Amino acid sequence: LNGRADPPPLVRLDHADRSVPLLVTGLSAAVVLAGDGTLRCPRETRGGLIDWGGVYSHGVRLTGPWDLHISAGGDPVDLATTLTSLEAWRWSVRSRHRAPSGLQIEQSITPFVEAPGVGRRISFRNTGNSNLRVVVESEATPFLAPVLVEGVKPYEYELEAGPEGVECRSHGCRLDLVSSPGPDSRTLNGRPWSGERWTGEVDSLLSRHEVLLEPGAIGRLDQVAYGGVANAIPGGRALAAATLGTADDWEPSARRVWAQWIARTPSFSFPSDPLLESAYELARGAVRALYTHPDPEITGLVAGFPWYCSLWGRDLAWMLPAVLWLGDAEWAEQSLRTIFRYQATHPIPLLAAEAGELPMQLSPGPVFLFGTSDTTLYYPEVLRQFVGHTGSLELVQELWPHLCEIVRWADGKRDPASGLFVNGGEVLALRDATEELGSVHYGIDAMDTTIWDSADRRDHAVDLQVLLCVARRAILGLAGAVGRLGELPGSAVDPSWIEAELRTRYAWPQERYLYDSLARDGTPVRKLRPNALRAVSAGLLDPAAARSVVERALRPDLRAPWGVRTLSDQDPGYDPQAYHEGQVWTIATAWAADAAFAIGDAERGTDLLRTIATRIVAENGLANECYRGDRPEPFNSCFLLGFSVAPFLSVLFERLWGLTVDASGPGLRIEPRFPSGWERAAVRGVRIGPGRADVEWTAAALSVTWSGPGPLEVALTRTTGTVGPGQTASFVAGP
Amino acid sequence: VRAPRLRADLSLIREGADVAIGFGVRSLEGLGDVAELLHHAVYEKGSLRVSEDGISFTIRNPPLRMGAFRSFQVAVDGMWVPPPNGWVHPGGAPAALTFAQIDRDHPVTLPIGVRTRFLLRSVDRTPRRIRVRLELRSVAIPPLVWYEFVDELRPVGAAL
Repeated sequence: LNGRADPPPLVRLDHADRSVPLLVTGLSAAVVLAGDGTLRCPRETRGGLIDWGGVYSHGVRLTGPWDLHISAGGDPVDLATTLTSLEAWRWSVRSRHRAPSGLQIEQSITPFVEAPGVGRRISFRNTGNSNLRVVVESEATPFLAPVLVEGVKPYEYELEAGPEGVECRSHGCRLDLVSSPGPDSRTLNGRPWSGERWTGEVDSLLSRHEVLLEPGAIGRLDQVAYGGVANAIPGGRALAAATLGTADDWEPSARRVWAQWIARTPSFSFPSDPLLESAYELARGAVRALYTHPDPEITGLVAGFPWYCSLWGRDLAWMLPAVLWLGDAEWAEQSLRTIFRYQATHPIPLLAAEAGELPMQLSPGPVFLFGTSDTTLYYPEVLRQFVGHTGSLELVQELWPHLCEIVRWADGKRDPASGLFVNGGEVLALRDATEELGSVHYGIDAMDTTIWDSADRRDHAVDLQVLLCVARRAILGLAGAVGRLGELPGSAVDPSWIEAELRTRYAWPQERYLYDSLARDGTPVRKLRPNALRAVSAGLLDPAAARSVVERALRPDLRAPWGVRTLSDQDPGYDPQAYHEGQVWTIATAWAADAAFAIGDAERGTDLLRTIATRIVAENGLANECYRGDRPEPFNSCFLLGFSVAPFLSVLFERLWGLTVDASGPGLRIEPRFPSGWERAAVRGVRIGPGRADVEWTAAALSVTWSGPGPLEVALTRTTGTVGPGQTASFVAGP
Repeated sequence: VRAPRLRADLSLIREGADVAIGFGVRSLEGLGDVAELLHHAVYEKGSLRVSEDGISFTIRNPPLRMGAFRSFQVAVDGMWVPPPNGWVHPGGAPAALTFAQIDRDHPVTLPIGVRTRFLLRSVDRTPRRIRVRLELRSVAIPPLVWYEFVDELRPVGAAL
């Protein structure tokens, strides 16, 4: 990549295909388009059709579809029908078009590396024998709504235009549209507009550019859409205009940043399974595509695209372990600081926040909302993993008061009688808080906010009890590591009694599974969902029970060929198109893979990973959020969701390779669980504190090469050893 | 009547202050922008009108949930409008449908940023201040979505 030829694109087309969604992202901005070269992307969304094409920045949809109406010699040139080639990488999309008039067009669309904008360069070449008048009408209609406000577009905008371009504002959001050369004229809602200040509805905002090309001549139009949350944008229109001066470097600099990042991340070699190897590379890039750093206060990964492109606390927690495996401990550290910065210090009913709770959503502004039962519980374990990868306890010391607040919050969520963690009612509290306010009220009657937040899983969902166990274990471990065990508040003690409850009260003898939940009165909720698999992964069940849970989960009523359903298709409430009542979710497939490896079933664990890999490869490095329960068709699905790729990566490292890192030693445990028939595999560049380890495995032997400053302690299932700095050591692989 | 409202307003001020102190004034400003957008972007204020055979109103965006809906219900001052008497005409759609014609197999998509008109027949057309409640069920996500507004029911031809 560094100075070499372009790597293979994610998508390469020789004809227009509007059904292929394309996503290109920077750290602030993103662009959504389709495989026909237009910034349109109509997608089924919650059962309806919505066009998601356009530019996004700061979690704000800046524009709706951004169309170019081109004519050459008076004849219209349609970008889609004239497309001869399209190549899409993570950092840019390039398309080429040829019109019958002899006009050749090359289009390049690149989000800026850090700045909140997207550059669109159009180059024209007249290949004919006579002069050609080319007219480009660029129509980018402002949208300007935060994506967290689902399906809402403002209808009043303030507009103004000057020599630098157009500035548009609405409800605290801002869009600047600039171009070089500037337009010959503009129209607003179909009428000529000289740029005077204007307030009202905007149906169309169009700039007209005209050029006369002599035979062989080349023309160029550079355009930028720039903006986001107004109070978080440095510079304004002048800065947007300044980006035009660096147009030649838009694509090279974006490409360079990606190349440097890829070079720092681990690589896999799976000669026995090229599909998994390809899917790893695509999933790695997909996670990186979600990185966001829109302002100095916010670092993290957005949940997905197109309609979840803000920070979601739950989703971030599922992604950070993969970020750590990819060697980006610094990004994980800043992400953790971001999420803890917005921990509620006291109840805020209007935001559905309880003291100690971590936010459900976070967008630049900053704007944040709370009100989930699970988000807060993920973070102690993520922090424990951070310590494992870095060996540093400084962040734990810094966040110690926040961890204590989590313990108090969790104590407050426990049923006084049973001691079990209670989920449900979070959104009802928000409704109570707002019912006296204003002349407009609205709400969603969601009774519950677990990871399946449209399903009613009250009152004691099984995976919440598992999460509580894992969180308490992590907090105890962290407290011990920093010598503060005695400072832990409340009942942050031995979680083993919850483990006993999982084995007894949650046991579902008829299904040899776990109940999905218990009501307050102890009545079991007999719903067969994949969530019970989390108890297996957490090691909370004895081996026989763990095996029976995995066996049951992989029967066809829950395990479809394209993934794992959220609810058995034999349940009376099953609906194949209901978000959490029957649809297949890739994260559930990853849970099943993780649990299968946890019981030592490498064959089925790998099979489940291959199910995910097949989707990632087929979707050109994107990964849908969910699919219908009755056929492998995305439905109501973001075309890329972080927790459809990140857990897949984590399972590859932690279960297939069986890697555990302890950077404090440093130490590396390797307990690979490759399926039968595999003969060799390698992983290179696993970061452990200040060094990196390469591991090569064959059925007979395993070698470790270490680049760190001191010795690396290596532990295999039946043997241990040491690898010196810059050295390679071999071990008998063994079972 | 005023006491609960006053209590709520004071609570809002206190919570706003808490947000500003805990997370900065920018947060308060950002939250205010989002709240204002949500408040103004759905029901088109002043669109509640007496029509020839009922009352009508307009929304500019779907309320909270985008996409297609398999059921619509509207209540006026707590009285549910019978489904055959409720009509919805999404912007861009060729014709209006009664709520009775809408189901899982025949859902209706509410467009974003485009006017959708509701017509409620055989309801009290006396101009007055009324409360309208709209309840929708998505084809994709089960929990019910509801939206309520209070506005003056204006006679035909009245100025805003």
